[in-house]
Amino acid sequence: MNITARLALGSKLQYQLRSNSVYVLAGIVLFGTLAMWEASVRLLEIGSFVMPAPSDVVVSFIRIVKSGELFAAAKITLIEVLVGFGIAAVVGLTLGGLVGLIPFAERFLMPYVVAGQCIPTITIAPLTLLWFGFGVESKIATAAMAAWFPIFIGTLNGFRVQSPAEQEMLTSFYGSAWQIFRMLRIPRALPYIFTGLDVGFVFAILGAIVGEFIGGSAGLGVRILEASTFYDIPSMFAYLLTLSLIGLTGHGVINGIQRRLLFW
Amino acid sequence: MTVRGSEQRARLAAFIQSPRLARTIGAVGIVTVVGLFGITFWALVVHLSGVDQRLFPGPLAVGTAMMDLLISERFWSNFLVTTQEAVTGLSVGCLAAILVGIVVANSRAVEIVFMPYAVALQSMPKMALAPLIVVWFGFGFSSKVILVATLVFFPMLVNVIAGLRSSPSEEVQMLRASGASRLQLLYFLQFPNALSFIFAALEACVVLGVIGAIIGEYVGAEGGIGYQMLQYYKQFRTAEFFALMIVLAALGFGQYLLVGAVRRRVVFWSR
Repeated sequence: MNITARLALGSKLQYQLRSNSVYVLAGIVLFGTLAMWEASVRLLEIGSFVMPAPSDVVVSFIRIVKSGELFAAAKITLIEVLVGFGIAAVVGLTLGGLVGLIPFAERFLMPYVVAGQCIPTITIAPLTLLWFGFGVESKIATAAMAAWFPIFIGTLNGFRVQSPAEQEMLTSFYGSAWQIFRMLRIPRALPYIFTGLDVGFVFAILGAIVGEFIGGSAGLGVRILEASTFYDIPSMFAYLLTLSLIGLTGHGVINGIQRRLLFW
Repeated sequence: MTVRGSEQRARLAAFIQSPRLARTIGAVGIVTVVGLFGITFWALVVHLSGVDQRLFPGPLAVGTAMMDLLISERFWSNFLVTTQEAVTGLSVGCLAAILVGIVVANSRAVEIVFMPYAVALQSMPKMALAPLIVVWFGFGFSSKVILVATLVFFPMLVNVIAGLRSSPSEEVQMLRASGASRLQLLYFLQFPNALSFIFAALEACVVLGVIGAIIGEYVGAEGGIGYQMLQYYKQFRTAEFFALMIVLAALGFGQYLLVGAVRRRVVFWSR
């Protein structure tokens, strides 16, 4: 089906389904791509250790789900990500709030903040193994260390926003400092804070996975590494898919909360 | 003295007497003072708590390790390897992003087909692809380059597309009315406007390049700073490990400054 025909079909569906057209079109595109992928792998007889066909991936996926491996690994990784993200959020929000709200703190700390952006915190991963052992704690630490910086920067940027006119209005109505904070600074900062949280979540997943790569006994990253030693690429794809799902879910949750809280 | 020479002397005199110099000295001073405070605090924490220096080294140990590193030849060859990996990966990734971005921005059909994947793949931690890439491309140079390129591609792509679309519509219409072809439109208007976006994204991506190279080396490599860091970690040489991390940070920061300087020359009209 060439592009024009696909677009025509898409626009026809658009007429029928109105706002859902994009999803349907995306679905059609996805299906088409998967079909082409499957066909080319089969026809060209590419070995599954080079590029697996979608059917191989699905078979592997079903197998690891049935054997319970997937859920066990996913549960561990999820714990690492969520706890790490939680710690990173607390630290990032607090520090960001402190630096953002105390007038001169930012001036003193700004060069170090910029330099801090450049320190690849994930590379600390081997050290966390040294400090916390090979268990879940070191992965939580790596995840937290990777995730706290975006959250910190987001909060900092959020509290940097000055709306002097609104602040004057609140003061002229005898607003207390706490009221100004609650009714003005926090809502103005929230969009930036949520962006920081969004990026931080992906980094938390990254940190947990890299921690597992370097030294872990269980979890999705470990499974991926294991599968790579067996050249079991379909399973690797299956685990990677699960990771993407976790990433997408987290992104969706944070976006959803943002849309409810910041309905304007 | 030439006219140009006296002009330069006047500018220098103005700078020395200007408040800008005082501010620059002030800024450097603040940074140094805060830095000294930080290092002292670090040293106090380490020595007072009596923690084993193989677990958490103090600034003295790290400083000594750093000096030993800087004169060792093996370090510099590893440094070269990692820098090459990062820079090559960055170039490949950015080039690919620019090419794909041009295609996507100009063709509605390609956009509809391609963008859902791009959005979905954004949420996936692409570092997790490292073992896959090492399986496919081996332990050598190319796997790190591909990993960095993959990491850098998506953020860059988003920025390229946004940049290409950012040209003001009146200017687009003016060029079209003068009979410009698609290619001319791209070259004279869309791409210069996209450059400011591209450089902003590049500043953010250089750090990604360094991280990608290191993680790639952690997963499987024969040389490079990440490889050396892993070896130090296994030998409990934590001070050297810290020193290498500082080197990495300096590498990333240096690249960031370099890109910033290039950006200010090339995209001189913005900011």
